[in-house]
Amino acid sequence: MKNSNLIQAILFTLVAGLVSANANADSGADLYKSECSACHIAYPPAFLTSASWDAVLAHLDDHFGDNAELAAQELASIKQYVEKNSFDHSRIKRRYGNRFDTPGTPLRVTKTRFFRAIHDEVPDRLVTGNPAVKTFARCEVCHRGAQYGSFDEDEVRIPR
Amino acid sequence: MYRKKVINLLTVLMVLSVQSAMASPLDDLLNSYKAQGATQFSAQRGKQFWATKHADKQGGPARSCSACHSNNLTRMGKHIRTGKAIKPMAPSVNSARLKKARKMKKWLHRNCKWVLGRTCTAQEKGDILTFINTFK
Repeated sequence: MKNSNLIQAILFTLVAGLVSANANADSGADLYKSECSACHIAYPPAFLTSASWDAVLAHLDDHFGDNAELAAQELASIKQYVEKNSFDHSRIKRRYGNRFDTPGTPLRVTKTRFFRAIHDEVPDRLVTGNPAVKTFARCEVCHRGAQYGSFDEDEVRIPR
Repeated sequence: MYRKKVINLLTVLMVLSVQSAMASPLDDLLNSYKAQGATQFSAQRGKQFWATKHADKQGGPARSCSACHSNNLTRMGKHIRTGKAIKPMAPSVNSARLKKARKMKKWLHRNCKWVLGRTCTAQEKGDILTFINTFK
């Protein structure tokens, strides 16, 4: 477990950032949660940059092959919420500067440099090669507190 | 005093029940479709629409309402692309269905575009809702 102290520190700051983001909950936060958790977990807004969120929200009519369009008013409210709580405003960004900046504008959390850095010890055979998991996109399968915004490494249980 | 309270309560209950009998969100929505030019709605037409298959332009399996929701609306459905489990559509077994205008509009918009590649007409939407609502 090289770098495990760094990873723990990162996870701690990430979770702390999520908790503080929850404190200023508004209708945008509620809408984000109810709308964006209907098909998958509501990924914490801090997982993507504002630019990435803009790109995701601009193409909800083709949301990874599915149509997830929202009414204009709800979209605006959700957009405001995710941008205010995006990676750009996260503690990771404040603490590490551009260290985890990802080139381009990835639409998937799994393509971000931060995600890759903290999952580099997880072999594919435990996830994509594991019928009980199948994909890195379903955080909650291994991170048992993911629905509640908790991604603590100690809560990870990889199904076999 | 006590009697007055009971009468007040009954009045409130009556007003509420009359209101809900007059205009459910579903009725409101159907009426708005009629205002947009739709005529009498038909569960039979809705049923046909539900089962009609549309080719996927990207070469995936054909799309239809029934592909994900099945033709038996009292059963669970399964999204053909994502595998997401979908609760039964028929209000006769799932009382949460067709209760909220926002939800009905949202999913009719999304699913018409996903299945047909276009939004549905007022007539089509009314027929679909009527089919779902009367499914036994």
